[in-house]
Amino acid sequence: MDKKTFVSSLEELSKKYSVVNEMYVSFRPGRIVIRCGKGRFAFVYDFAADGPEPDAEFVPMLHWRNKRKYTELKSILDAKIIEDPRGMRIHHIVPRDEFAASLKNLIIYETDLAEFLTGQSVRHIFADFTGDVYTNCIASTSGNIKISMELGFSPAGSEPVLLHEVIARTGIASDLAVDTQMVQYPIYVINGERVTHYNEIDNELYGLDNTQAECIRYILDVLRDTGSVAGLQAQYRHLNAVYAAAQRTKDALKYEEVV
Amino acid sequence: MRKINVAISSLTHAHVRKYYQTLHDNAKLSWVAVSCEDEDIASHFKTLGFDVPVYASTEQMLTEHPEIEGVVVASENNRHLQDMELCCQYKKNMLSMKIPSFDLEEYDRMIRMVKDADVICQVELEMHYNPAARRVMDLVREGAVGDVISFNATNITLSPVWAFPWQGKPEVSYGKKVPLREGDPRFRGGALSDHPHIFDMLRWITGSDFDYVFADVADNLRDIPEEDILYVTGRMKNGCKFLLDPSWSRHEEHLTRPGVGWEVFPKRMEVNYSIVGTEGVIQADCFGPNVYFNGGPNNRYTVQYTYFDEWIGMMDEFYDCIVEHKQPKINLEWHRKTIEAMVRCYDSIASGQPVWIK
Repeated sequence: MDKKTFVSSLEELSKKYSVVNEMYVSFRPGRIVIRCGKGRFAFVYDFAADGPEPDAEFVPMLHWRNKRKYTELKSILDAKIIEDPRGMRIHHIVPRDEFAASLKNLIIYETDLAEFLTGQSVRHIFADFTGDVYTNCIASTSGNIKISMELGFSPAGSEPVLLHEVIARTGIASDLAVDTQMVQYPIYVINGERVTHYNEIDNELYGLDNTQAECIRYILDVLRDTGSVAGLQAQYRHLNAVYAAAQRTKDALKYEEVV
Repeated sequence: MRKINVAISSLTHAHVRKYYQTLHDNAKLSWVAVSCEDEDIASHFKTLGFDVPVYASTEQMLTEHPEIEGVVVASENNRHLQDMELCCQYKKNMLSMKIPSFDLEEYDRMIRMVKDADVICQVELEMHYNPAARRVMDLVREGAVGDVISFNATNITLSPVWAFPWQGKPEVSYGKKVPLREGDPRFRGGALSDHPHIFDMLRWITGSDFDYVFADVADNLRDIPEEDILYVTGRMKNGCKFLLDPSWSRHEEHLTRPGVGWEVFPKRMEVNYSIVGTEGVIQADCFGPNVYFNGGPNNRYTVQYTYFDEWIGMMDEFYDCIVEHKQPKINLEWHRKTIEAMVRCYDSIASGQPVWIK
């Protein structure tokens, strides 16, 4: 993480939108701790290392909720452009990095995202794991939406394999173009055998890695409305319960209820 | 070059139209007759310009054309046994549709009949003749991604039930009416019954057989009496995991005859693989990329497929097997384990738990 740029960008946007007057940012492994006039908050993004932070409110960093393509998918569902979701397909196969360090991170990411998009909560899950490298899951929500998830890690430097497709009674919404398999980018630079792509989608946070940009926007949203923290903590307890159910199904190989 | 005489019995299967051009074009085949009980379908066939006589029954066709050597058995699923019995009785080699039968006892009878009659029976699993699928198989065998951890595949399409109504009738598609699960008004025979290919490919790519399957079915997109959205996961006996999507998850216009404007979603059919190995990932689209248009009756943006050559290679193999009198790669006995795994997926849906396969 480019800590210097991260902090300066966070402070700049915080001032621009009058979120907090001053903030002190420190980085700990898997978390960003922020002290400001509204309190002290530990934004945790490594869910495999989610112990408490002394004198700080625990806030799960559900940063994907601020990813533009997901907020647009959600708006398609919220506006009932497509209605009555029945199924959802998720692929998330990426190289490990600090935001995707373990399968627990991926399961929490994708479970929360599916719930965020559909407005329903996962009640049952079946998962089969290959160590901490890969898992296939089928989950079922409170409204009987079935979700298939292919989650895992590819070698360092690999292109990400990502798909989020909602299949509804009246239509389909997806973050991948029809007749393509891989994530597309706004910019490709072609130099002989080498192709470099750029993914500039946030002008206010120009040049920053997109996940870090999402984290900044997520932090600002939470600080703007610190009353949301209790709800986020409850959601994190639920996501941990989904993960625990997935772990149980690994041993028992049965459709596990999330309790 | 020796030519063989072939015929099609029944014109009701969704794939039958794929054979028309192939049988017409292949210089090694002489297309001598078709049989069709349905007058409407027979009338339509006569408008297509193929100079082939149409008979009202398969038996009549076989009686009038003793020169027939191979028959494409293109009937509805619940008719396959009866058609195969006839072909065996008349000692005709057969190309079976992709689901010979879901009744495993009936399936075993088919195997015995074919053996006793000493005829060839090839099963139509055309993905084996798809060039992208073939390349993927080569890549996996060459170790392009190391050891395979998981084979994931889609075989998702629109629902054919409006164009091929028998696929919407559980007793015809599955062979009998079996409820999906207790309290569910739907029956077996929908999307899963239409999509054996990825179950078969999984066996070829992993070189292993099914250890267990777990399947769950969503609420339907359509008002039909069978499942249309489901997901299947499980493990092969060599430890390889899999996740399969054999759904009818692409929306369609309710056309009674496939044609331009069928699609609501731009791509009506996909077979995609995602193969995760210890050293990398293969992403493959067996039917893409393509060309695109907007137009047609609804002026929708639509994928126009650019290669659909599977039936050419399949009919070449059928020809070779007849000439050399050898059983094909995809024969009834091989295919039984694929069919059994699909039946066990239905059992898993019924029980809500994984089903282990001996």
